[in-house]
Amino acid sequence: MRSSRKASRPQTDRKTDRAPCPALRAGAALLALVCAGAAQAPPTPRPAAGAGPQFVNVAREAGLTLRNVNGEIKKTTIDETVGNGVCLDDVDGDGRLDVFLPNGSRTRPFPPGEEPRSALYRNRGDGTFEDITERAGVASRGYWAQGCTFGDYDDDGRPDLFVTGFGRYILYRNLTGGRFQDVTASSGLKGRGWSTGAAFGDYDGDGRIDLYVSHYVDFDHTGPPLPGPGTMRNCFYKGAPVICGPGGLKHSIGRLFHNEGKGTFREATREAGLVTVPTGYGLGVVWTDLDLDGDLDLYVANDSTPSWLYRNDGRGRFTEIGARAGAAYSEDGRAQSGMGVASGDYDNDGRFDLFVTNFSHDYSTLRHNDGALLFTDVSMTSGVGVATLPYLGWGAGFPDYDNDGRADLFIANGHVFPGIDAQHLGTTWKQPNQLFHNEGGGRFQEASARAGPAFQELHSARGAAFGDLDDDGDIDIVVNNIDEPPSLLRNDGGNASHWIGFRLQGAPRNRGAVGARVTVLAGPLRQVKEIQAGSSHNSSNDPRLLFGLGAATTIDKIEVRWPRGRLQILKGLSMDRYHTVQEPEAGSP
Amino acid sequence: MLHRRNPPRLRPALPLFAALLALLVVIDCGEADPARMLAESRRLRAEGQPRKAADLLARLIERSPRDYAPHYERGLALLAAGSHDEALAEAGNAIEADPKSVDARLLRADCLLALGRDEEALPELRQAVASAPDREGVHRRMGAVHARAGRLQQALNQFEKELQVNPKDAETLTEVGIFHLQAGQLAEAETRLESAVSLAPKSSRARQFLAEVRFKQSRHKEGLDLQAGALADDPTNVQLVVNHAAALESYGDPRLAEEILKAAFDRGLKDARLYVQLGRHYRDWLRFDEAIATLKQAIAIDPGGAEGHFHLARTYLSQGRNDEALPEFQEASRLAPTDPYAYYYIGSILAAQGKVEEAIPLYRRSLELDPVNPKAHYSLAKALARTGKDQEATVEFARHAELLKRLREIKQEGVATAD
Repeated sequence: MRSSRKASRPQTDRKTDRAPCPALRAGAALLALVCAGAAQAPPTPRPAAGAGPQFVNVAREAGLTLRNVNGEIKKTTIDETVGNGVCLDDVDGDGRLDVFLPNGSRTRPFPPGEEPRSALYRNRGDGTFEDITERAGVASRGYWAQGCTFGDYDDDGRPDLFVTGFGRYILYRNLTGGRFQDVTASSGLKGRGWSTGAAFGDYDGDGRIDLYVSHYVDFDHTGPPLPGPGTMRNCFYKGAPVICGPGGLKHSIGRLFHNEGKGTFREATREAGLVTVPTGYGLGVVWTDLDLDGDLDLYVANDSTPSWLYRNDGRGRFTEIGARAGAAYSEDGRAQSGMGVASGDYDNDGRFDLFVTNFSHDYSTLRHNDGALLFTDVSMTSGVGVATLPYLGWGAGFPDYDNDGRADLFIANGHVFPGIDAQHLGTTWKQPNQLFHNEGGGRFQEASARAGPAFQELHSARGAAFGDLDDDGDIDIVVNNIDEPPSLLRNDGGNASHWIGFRLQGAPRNRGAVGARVTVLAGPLRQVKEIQAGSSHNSSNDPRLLFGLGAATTIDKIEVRWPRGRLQILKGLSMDRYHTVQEPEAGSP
Repeated sequence: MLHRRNPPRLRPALPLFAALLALLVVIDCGEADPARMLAESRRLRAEGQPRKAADLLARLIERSPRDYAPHYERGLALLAAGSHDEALAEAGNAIEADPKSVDARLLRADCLLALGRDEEALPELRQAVASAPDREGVHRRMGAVHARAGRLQQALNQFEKELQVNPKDAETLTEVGIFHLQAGQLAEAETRLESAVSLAPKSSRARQFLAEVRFKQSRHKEGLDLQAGALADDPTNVQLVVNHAAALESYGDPRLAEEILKAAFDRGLKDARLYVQLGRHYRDWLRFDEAIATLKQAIAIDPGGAEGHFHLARTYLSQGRNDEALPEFQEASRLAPTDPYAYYYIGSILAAQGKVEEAIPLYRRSLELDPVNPKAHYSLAKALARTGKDQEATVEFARHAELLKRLREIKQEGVATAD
């Protein structure tokens, strides 16, 4: 996000490109003048200022104030611990990234009118947000929500909103102007139980985005398992009685919904081969083309059970190959407690690697994609593993926060046991989030201590979503904190290097171009990114793709591989701005 | 005249002098009475002076070399004094003096057991059983021999027979309880060990293993209390210190584990096992520098101990310092060639270096030694898959999955942890 510390952006264009430097605080006007002047000048490299990008939590000033509710403050059952995600997209077509925060609830009734609600915040473009929840029709009062994802399922050019939670799903169709209609009943998205992560992706290449929904535990709110004498065996952590589960509780099976067109979905879980026995406690999910064969594979992070890697055969059938691929277990064959998931190419070798957050006293797992759907656990050798041991990770992503052309790592941390502090087990309920700088050569170095005051704060964080909320060419981060308002981590100074961004518009179907891959070649850098609609923990990111260009001063080549395989080469695009790219019509060159 | 006058005075004094002499002999030189000498030797032995008892009995044997009792008692005294070879010779003498003596057979067996000659002890014990089937302690000894030899079922049979003749033998109850515990028969283990503790509340061994039962029953507090009580009565029991510290890491206050280990150092215990446990503690709590320093101390105390090298290697591995971990694992493997896990880790490091073909035989060796290690099956499966041995890989992946399933089923705790 912008601040007086940030470097300016030289050029803009309308729709996807807006004036970059409106006043947020004193000095912003001067900055605007600088920006305006710079718009006429050729791009020049700008070294990172001082200590590098600084992140500041500006949620309160920006107006992101929704207080999260997840059961009682003193957690006694597992439903109170998983928490909520964050979803980012431009819901009203004004070109600015808006923020949706799903909210939880509790079993004990609220006084009438005081039920928690989810919140949709419209980005005013001046660094502040307007709460448009009620007018948008997405409050879902009384619904215990978990996750969300944006996706234009009906190909009308507007992002729709899917929300997971307890008892049912909600599909909000975007009508226009940031107004939504709950169309769940007519959509065919019938879900019960406890749904968590969700992701849109066109798995069968018919041009319509389908939907996978993770399910966690088959949980009964009326008779939840409780810790204490005589209780089930899975209610202890290092000897201390704690919240029961998920071990010992019944699994709930994740579901695949095929987009039938005309606004309807049909469950296709079994016919697609997405039933794995024994099943897992599903949380994070991402559609991503891991073998670069042009179709989307599915990766699901399961808690306490092996994670799944479903290889797509391109015809709508999947085979679970997680163990064989080295993507199901820890390096030594343990099922970890997979929470959030991210897919990104951290070593710029053209293949998407995988990152999964896990429980405290275990490491979060970075898996290098070696090709041929084989992965190597490089958590320890990369420097990520040891640093994550004290923390319980949730939301995660590969934002290149300093635009040096290498994907960095962010992890939102927070424990599930509020009483853990008293147990002196080397971990705590509230934890700092973590930022890892990609040093190149497969090594990461934790940068939290030098990345600004936001990383000194302690929260029990859950979902995290990544996007350029102020369109200034660097990635900001929104984090949903359990039982607290969210954090908005404004990136100050991340745009010191040149960058280029893309909003892809597919045609005629899959208007959001979910699954499209963009490759940018600039100097020694060869970066590839993919449009995903759902990842991290219960979250979805900015659908635009932003590439930091490091020391490069020119872009050599840009390739767009559209979801149905069409390759488009872009030339002559200017740096330091977002570009809207339309999928070429069939038959065009 | 004078001559004539004296004899009458002397004549009545002679018997008196003889009696006085005899009395002096009796008073001054009790050893002249074998029964009293035997009693005295037993007293000395009971009071912790077995060597003195043995010396006293040696004098008695000089006087009566063919008597059974002095040989037998001296054998007991020598055994108590730790002179096992001499004790064995005396036991032989006792058997020669009374070939039908069950006690002498048992003494000889105990001497052989003390000398580590278990298999030679067995015939003596069998002979003792044949002569006195209801004799207490014989089956217990046989059970211990079988247990040490790994003949667990035979060991259990003997312990059960012991309990038939001696149902309140706390020692046997303890051993049977341990057997059941190790066999995963928790209810049986609990019954026996509870009885043992009830019969011998001060038995640290019985409490130590009853504590293990309690941990498996998720009755962690009781387990920790049992260990703490046993440790209070047996503060120099290094293994108990180590076990208690390990239990505190998992079920109690880990800071207390550190305190207990350091207190053991303060008591003068300098056993490498304590340093290894403290090193593991530091590693678990991510205090890697302290872990490495402490594990190096363990190695300095016991350079031939594989555990120190193994855990130092694990600590390096935890930090991604594979190059430093590799030689330590290799040393651990050299020192303990039957330890399956060092092979596994060496294989893992080699695989991470891209030497997958070299890793495969190491994983296989690890699995020969521990066929139910899921980690090794998983790593072997991955290595096989990487080298194009798909069918073998499939088998290994399946074994890994099955083992994980079984582990999950028997696991006693496991929330959303890092298990």
